[in-house]
Amino acid sequence: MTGGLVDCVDVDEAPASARRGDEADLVARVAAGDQGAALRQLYRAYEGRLYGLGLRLLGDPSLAEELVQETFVRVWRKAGQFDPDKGSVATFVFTIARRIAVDLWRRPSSRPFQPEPAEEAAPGDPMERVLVGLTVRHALDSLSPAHREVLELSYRKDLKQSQIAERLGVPLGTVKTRTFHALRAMKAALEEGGVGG
Amino acid sequence: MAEHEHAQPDVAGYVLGVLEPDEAAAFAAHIEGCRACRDEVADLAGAGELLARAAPAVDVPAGLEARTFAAIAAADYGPTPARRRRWDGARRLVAAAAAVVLVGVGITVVRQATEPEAAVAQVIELEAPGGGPASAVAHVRRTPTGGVIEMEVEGLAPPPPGSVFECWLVAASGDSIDRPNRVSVGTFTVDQDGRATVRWDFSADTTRFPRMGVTIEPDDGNPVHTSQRVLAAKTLL
Repeated sequence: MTGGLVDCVDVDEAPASARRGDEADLVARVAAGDQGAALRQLYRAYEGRLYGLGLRLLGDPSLAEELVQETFVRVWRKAGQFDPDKGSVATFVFTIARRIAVDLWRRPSSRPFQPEPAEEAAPGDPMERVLVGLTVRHALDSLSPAHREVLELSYRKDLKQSQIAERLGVPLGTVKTRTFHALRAMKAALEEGGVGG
Repeated sequence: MAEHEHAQPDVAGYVLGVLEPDEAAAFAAHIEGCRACRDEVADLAGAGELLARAAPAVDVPAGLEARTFAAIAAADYGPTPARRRRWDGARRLVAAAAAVVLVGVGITVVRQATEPEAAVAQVIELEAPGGGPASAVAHVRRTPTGGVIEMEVEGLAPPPPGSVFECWLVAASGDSIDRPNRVSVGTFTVDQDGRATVRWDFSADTTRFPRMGVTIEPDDGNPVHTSQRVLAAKTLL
């Protein structure tokens, strides 16, 4: 078993560029046979996004769950084929997930109502759109609770900063500086996730 | 205002559109002459736009991690061409036991998924019936007395003055303005970018009213459906 909490703290506080390298390093460790800590840390980084992807593409919780499981069985099997010079770990994982989503969609017993996912990535295809939304959510979730909160209150655009200050019970000046630092952190997290701010 | 050496915090509020109108106007005038703030606005604008595209938070089912690792252990039991590992007898036994556990788990999952009150959201995509940029994604969770709809709308042109958007659940057989057979879920409007995020509790039986749609309705307090659809669900609830 891995020390989950410690892993999470490390991931959260590492600068974006270091985290990207860390993920490639995790895949290398998995390829070398580390089926414990490294695979689990990698899994925890992608579980939410893969499940969300399954729900959106296949429209069914049990198919979404299968997508998560099958993707990670294959990530583990194919870890040795990952080449950090050819793309990010996120691209590696989601390319595998895309093929599995197509297989699950085509399975006669699944009959999802959703349109068939495309096998190859193309700009503007539904999966790319879904992935952007999931990556933004993942980046938001990686922020500190205070940063996430002030951004969630801001991006809906129905409150002005003075109302946000009132809602949070902090001075307006604090909301302004907190929003600034939160948006900078968000930009870094988005770049880490491969959707440059 | 004088030129800043470093960008000031209002950059973020400006990019996100949450400054008071007078502050926003003052800041817009300020960046004309302040390079540091202008550069910072350009730097953060993309992140500000992407924020509005965040997918709703999704709850992953409990135990999914354990089930995935059991599946990996089970897959590990068979020889895989990509790996050259030698397994001792004890590890084979562990993997075989994990495979047996997995079979049981699989049955449980199927049972949970077929229960009508599953806490997991059903995802419904909506599109403009006549084509066009408007779209929405709704997450529908059932409760014993109805359910909860959380919907994100984009690309929907704001409604004409004096009207609002109204979300409906319509009978399986459909209905007409003369013979309505639908329940209202709630009303909403969109921001200047055509976006909205809404959440409603509803008490309709979705097996009787499985079609979800959005219309434009006059904001006159009259609950009767009068107007045309602007969004329709691609699938049934």
